[in-house]
Amino acid sequence: MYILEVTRGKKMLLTGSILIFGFMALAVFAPFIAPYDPDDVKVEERLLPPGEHHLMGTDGFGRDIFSRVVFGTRYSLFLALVVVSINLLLGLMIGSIAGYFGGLIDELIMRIVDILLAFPNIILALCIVGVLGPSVQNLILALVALGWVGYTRVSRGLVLSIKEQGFIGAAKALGGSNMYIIMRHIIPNAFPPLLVLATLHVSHTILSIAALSFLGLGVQAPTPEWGAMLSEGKQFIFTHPHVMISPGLAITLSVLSFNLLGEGLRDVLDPRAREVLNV
Amino acid sequence: MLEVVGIKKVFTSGIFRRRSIEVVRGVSFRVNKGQTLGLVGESGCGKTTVGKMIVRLIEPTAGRILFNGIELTRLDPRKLRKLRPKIQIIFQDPDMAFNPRWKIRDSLGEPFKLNRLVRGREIIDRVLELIETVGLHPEHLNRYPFELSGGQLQRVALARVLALQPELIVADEPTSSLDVSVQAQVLTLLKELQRRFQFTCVFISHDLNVARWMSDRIAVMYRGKIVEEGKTESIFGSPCHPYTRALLGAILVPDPEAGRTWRIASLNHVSPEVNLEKAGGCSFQDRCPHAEKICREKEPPLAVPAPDHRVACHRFKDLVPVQANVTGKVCFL
Ligand SMILES: Nc1ncnc2c1ncn2[C@@H]1O[C@H](COP(=O)(O)OP(=O)(O)O)[C@@H](O)[C@H]1O
Ligand SMILES: [Mg+2]
Repeated sequence: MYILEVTRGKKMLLTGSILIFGFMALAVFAPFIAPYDPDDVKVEERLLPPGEHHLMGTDGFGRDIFSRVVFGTRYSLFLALVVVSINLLLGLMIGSIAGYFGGLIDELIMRIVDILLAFPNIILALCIVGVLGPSVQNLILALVALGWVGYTRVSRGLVLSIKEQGFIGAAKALGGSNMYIIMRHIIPNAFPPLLVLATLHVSHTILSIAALSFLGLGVQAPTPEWGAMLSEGKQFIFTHPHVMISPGLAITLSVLSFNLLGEGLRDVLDPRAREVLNV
Repeated sequence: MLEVVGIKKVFTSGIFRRRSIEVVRGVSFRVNKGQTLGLVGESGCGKTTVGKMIVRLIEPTAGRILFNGIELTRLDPRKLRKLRPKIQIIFQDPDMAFNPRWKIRDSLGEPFKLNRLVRGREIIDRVLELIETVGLHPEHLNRYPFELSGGQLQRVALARVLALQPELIVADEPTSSLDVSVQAQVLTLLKELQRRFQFTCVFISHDLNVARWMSDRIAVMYRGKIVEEGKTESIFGSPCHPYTRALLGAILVPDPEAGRTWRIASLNHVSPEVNLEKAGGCSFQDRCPHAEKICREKEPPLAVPAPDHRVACHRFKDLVPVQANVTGKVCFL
C-alpha cells in the first residue's frame, strides 16, 4: 500500500514540479515571453477575441491578455510564496519555542493560537484590509495575521517529539545553549515535514490573494494580478467571456500544480511524519 | 567524588488541573573516584530520571548532588557551564543519540566546537583520534547515523563524550537495545576506556548480570527508592532485600552439578502504576512474599546487615540466608 502511494506520489511530484517550473520561468522571463507591454492601452483594439496577433485576445482597454497573464505570474506566485514563507518561518520559530520550553510560555502561545484558530480565515483578512485600506503590504499582513497559527501548532507537535530524542539531551550535556539547540538541532529537523504543509498552503494562498484582489481589497486594478484581472473582466462575462477565462485558467492551473507537488511530497514522505502533520 | 543526597523528582502536568507523580522518592548514594556504581531496577522505577538529574538535564525537586564537593544543584549558570563538560551521559537508544541530518564527523566535532577546545584543522585530527579510540574506521565519519549499526553508534556516542575528557559518565542502559554479542563488545570497550581514562561511572541497567560485570558497587532501585546498596560481592553473596533476591532469582541458572534445583523466589505480580501516595509503609509490600503487618504500617528504615551494606527492609533478619555456591550462582534455601 505504502509502495503504491510512493509510486503515485512520485508521478504527482514530477507533474507538479514541471508545471511550477513552467510558472517560475514565466515569472522570471516575463519581459521576453510577453509579446506586448501588459499596460499598453489601445482603445481601437479593445475586446478582440483570441487570434493570430493576440493569443488570448484583448481586454476592455485593448491590453493584450496573454502578456497580462504572463506578468500576472509575478504577482500571484511571488506574493503567495512570500506569504507562505513568512508564515512558515514565524510558525516554526514560535512553535519551536513553545514546544521546547513548555510550561507557561507554551500555555500562553497555545491559548493565543486556539483563539486565532476560531476565526474564519478569509473574514478576518477582509476586516484587516477593510480597516487598514487596500494595499499589497496590508494584503500580506492580513494573510500572515492568521497564517502563522497552523504552522505554530504543527511545529510544536514536531518539536515535542524531537526534543525527547537523545541528541537533544546530548547536545545540552555537551554544553549547547537553548538557542543553539533550537537553531541547530530542533528547527532543521522540524523543517522538512513542514515543507509539505507549506506547499499545500501555497495553492490556498494563491486563491486567497486572487479572491481579495477580485473584491478590490488586494492588488489594485491596473496591475495585472489574476484576481484583479477577473474583477476587471466581470462586466464582460456574458458578452466577451475570453477576458475572464484566461486569468481564471491561470489561477486554476497554478493551484493544481502546487496541490500536485504537495500531495506528491506527502505520499513519498514516511508514514510517521504524515501522522504528525495530519495531512 | 559523586554524592547524591536524598534527591526527589516530582513530574507535574497541566497548568490548571495539576497532576503530579513522584518518580524518584529520595535517592542517596556515593561513588568514589574511578569506580563504577551499578544502578539496577526494573523498567519504570526511575533510573533514567536519576541519571538525567545527575547530568543536569532534569532539575531535581529536592535533594543535593555533589560533584567533587561542589553542589551542582545550587550552582549559578556560569559555573555550571564550566563544570558541564566533566559530567556526561550515554543514552539507551543509540538511534536517537545523533542528529539524523548530521554526518558522524559533525556530531563528533560538536563537543569541540561548543566548548571552543580546538578549532579548524585540529578538530579533524581530534575526531580522527577519537574514532580510532573506540575501534571504528575513519571512513565511518562520512556516514549518516542511519548508516551505522546500533553497536557502532554506541561506540560513536562513547567517542563523543570522551572528547570532553569527562570525570563522570552516566551510562543509561547503553547496551540494552543491542544484540547480545554486540553488548559484550561495547561493555568491554567501556571498561577498557574507563581503565585508560580513569573516569567515574554510574552504570544504569535492568540486567543484574551486566551490572555485576561492570560495577564495583550495586544500588538496587524499586519504585523511585534504593532498597539495597553495597559492594557487588555482598549484593550477590548475601542479598538481603526480597526484591534483590527476586531479581537474582530471575538470573539464576539451574546447576545440575550441585545436585539440586534452585528455588526461585517468586513475586506477586501487580501493575507498577499502583498509586503510591495512598499506601503507607513499605513500597514493596504488595509484591513481597514476606510482607507482614509492620510492612504495611511503617516505612522500613535503612539497616546495616553487614559492614558497607545497606538495606531497606523490616524483615531482612527473618529471611532465610542465602548461600553463594562455587560457581558464583546464588541459592535460596
Ligand atoms: N518527563 C516526564 N513527565 C512525566 N513522567 C515521566 C517523565 N519522565 C519519566 N516519567 C515517568 O517516570 C517513571 C520513571 O521513568 P524512568 O526514569 O525513565 O524509568 P527507568 O529508566 O527506570 O525505566 C516512568 O513511570 C515514567 O513514565
Ligand atoms: Mg530508562
